Amino acid sequence: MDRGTGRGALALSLLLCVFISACATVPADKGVETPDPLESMNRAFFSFNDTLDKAILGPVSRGYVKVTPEPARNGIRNFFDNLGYISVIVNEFLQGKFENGFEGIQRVVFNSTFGLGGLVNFSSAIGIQQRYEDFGETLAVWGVGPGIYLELPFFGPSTSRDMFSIPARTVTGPLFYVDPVISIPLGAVDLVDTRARLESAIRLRDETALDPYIFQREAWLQRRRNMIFDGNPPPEDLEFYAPPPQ
Amino acid sequence: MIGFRKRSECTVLAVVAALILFFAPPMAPAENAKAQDTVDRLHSALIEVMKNADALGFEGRWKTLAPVVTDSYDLAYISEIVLGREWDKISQDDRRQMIDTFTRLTVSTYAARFDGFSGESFRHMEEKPMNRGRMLVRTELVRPADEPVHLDYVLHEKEGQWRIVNVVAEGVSDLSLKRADYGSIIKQEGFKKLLEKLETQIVALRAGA
Repeated sequence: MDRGTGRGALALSLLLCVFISACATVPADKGVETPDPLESMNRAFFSFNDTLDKAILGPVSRGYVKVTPEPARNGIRNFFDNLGYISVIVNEFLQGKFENGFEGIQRVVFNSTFGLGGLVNFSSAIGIQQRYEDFGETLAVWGVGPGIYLELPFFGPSTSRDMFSIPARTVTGPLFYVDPVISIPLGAVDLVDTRARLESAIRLRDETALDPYIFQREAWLQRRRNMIFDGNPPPEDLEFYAPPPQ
Repeated sequence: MIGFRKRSECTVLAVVAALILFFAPPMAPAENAKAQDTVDRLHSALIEVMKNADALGFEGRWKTLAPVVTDSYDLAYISEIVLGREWDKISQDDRRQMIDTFTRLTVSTYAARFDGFSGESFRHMEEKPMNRGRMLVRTELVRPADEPVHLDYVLHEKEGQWRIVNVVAEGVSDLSLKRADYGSIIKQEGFKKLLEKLETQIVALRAGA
């Protein structure tokens, strides 16, 4: 995306965020549970995404895996992880995790230089941990509740809070600032690679779920909460309703 | 599905593991048994089955795992929890049918999915008490070619033995997932249809293995 195109996409995603926020009456944060008052709409978008995935993205990503040797795929994966790490660093600082933020800078510098432009995950090899943070997590750390669950067309599962990650990730990604001749093909490869990483997850969902929409929603929300707490959610998350047997 | 990005693959791999982990060798009830022991036995059996996956085949894995599953998990209790309020509405026969079907589904799932070994191992992290007398056992599934998967087990004590009632993989609770998934089918199509769908899954797992 060039600046013009990128700004158009950014404006569109912001508009979508504002529209959905405006039409959704956000109930109070219910802790682990995130309400889904727009389930009918969400199910329609879920079907749309799933159809799109089964018709185009899934077959393309499987073709990509078939024709691309594993070392090359690892290199591509490392490259996009490195490119997207600037967003992680920004969110580390926004969340007050300064040590992680500085470590992230170190990670990107090493991977971009000794790691041959990010193709080699040099930093992990020398023990610099790869983390994940996004703007939705930052908002959560700032005390913003999840709001309502949303299935976004093209983007998949989200919430009325977490969808702000999409424009935030766009402006913190280097591809936003380069010529579309470069950014569009790279963005397409990133998309295919991301889908390829999700192959086993989607296959599992399709094999296991009786109601794939519900399965994906619950799995995504729980996983999301776990990520917000950096893998250490409050112990009460593991509690459940029923009394122990007598 | 783009929103299901990056670390999410690990997520759902974790869900896979949660949906899969249900084995332990036969054990005798012990008065001073520890929650950790149940999990350890489960893990040992799991590794053994994975190492011998080809020789055993689906049927062999099924037969090996069936006693392990029924012994280390409280599947009657889990069946009740995943049905939610529906449990109170159905007959005793339906409850027995649900427990039987759910047990066969669980064993079939693990027999189908634990079909190979790539150097995996389990690492015990910690054990700590929870509310209502339950115990939490935190572990990791270590994979040589990938990031480890965090697996937390929730156990309760029943008849002198600690039994697993939930597995939480990378923050995703198997019990909650099933409760939501099954609840949706019950709401839309009723309990009998749920049983039918579970039977279909059992057949599919056997056929696909």
